[in-house]
Amino acid sequence: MTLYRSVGMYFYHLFVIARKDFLLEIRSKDVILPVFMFSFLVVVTFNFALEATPNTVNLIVPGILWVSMLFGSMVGFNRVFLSELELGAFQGLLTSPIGRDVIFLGKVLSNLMFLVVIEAILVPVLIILFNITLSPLDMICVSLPALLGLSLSGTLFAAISMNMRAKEVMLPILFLPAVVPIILGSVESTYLIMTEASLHESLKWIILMIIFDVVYCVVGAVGFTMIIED
Amino acid sequence: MNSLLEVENLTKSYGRNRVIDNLYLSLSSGEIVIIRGANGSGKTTLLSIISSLVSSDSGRVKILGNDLKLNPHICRSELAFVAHQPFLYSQLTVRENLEFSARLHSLKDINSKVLNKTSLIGLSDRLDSKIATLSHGFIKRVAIARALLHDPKILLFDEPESGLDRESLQLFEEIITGELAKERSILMTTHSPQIPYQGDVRNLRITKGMLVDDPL
Repeated sequence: MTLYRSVGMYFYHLFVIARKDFLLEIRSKDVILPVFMFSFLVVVTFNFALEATPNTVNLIVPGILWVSMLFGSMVGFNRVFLSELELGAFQGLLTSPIGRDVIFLGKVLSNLMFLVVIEAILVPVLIILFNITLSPLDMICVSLPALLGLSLSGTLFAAISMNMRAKEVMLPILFLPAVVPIILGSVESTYLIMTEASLHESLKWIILMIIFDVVYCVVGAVGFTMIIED
Repeated sequence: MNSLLEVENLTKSYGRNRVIDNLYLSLSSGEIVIIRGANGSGKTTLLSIISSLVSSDSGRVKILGNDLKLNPHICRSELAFVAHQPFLYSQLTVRENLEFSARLHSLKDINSKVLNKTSLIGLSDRLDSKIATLSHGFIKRVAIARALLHDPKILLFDEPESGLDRESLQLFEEIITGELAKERSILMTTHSPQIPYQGDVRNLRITKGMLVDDPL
């Protein structure tokens, strides 16, 4: 009963932090708007730069989608701690009786929420521009572990670089190599769900992403706690 | 008297600069301690260590008998820190900020607690104002309301008089008097010779990282 209550409280605090970030995002539009604009422009630029034919469209669209999400999310991760730093609100979080890991995972949850919203707008844009067909259910199965991986590693590296003077440079240097397995998995599995009839073919890539999500989750929660304690 | 806060053999250095050096401090229930010291003497660092914002190099902090490093959650639930920064979100309203803090402390009956504390601190008519639209003095009041929300046993104030006008200082003194009557303890730092409280206090001075009695 005690365990149930404490697990329940753990998730309650995660949602309290995510809810606060959502409220702040509605007011400030610090993250979703710039990330969407950036990702949208990348998609449009690729649309003009690459001559997609019926034979090549399945090869290039997965790359365009995940490259635009990757670079767009980087713009967002540079801004996720802005509101926390403004009036020392982050220190307020640190003095409250919740674990540092709860703060980290709460921020991960809110960043995941933002990325889901952006992809939910971006995918229909891709479908219209490149005239492709995608099963929504398959796309959700591929996108959730991919976006979770981006959110976990992006939040950790955003926290590491938030007090650095050159954070705009540091974040990509740390973030890009770390998410290579996620990008590889997401591009391959998106290609497979576009070309193969079933999700089964892309399952090994989805499992790979889930394994990396678990690793990022543990390393992220421990790493975040260590960074904050120092 | 029961000791609510015990600091033993505390040490903290920034690079080669030892800011806190084998510092001892004890704070009893219903007691107010005021620490004075020059800029850079370690006043804020001491409060930051007690509130677990900064980790010490060595030594021990015990809050209501709980070791801060072993039971940080219990310790943090028993204290509140009003620092130079208000620890608030500028894009949220006073109510939203206080509700957020109350949820982090797992409080029940949040609405009535928020109304009670904002009324105590003269913020009832500003509940739905965004923090970004408030003056420095009102932001400080919100920070104090946020600190009082979960009824902490220990209140830490870092130079609370800065930025407050005469009316706010008077209100602040009333709040301190009220909180001390509830068997709470207050640890306050200042470098002002005049403090916004006229009752019985224990005056200390921090020099070379150590606390000594300050006869004023």
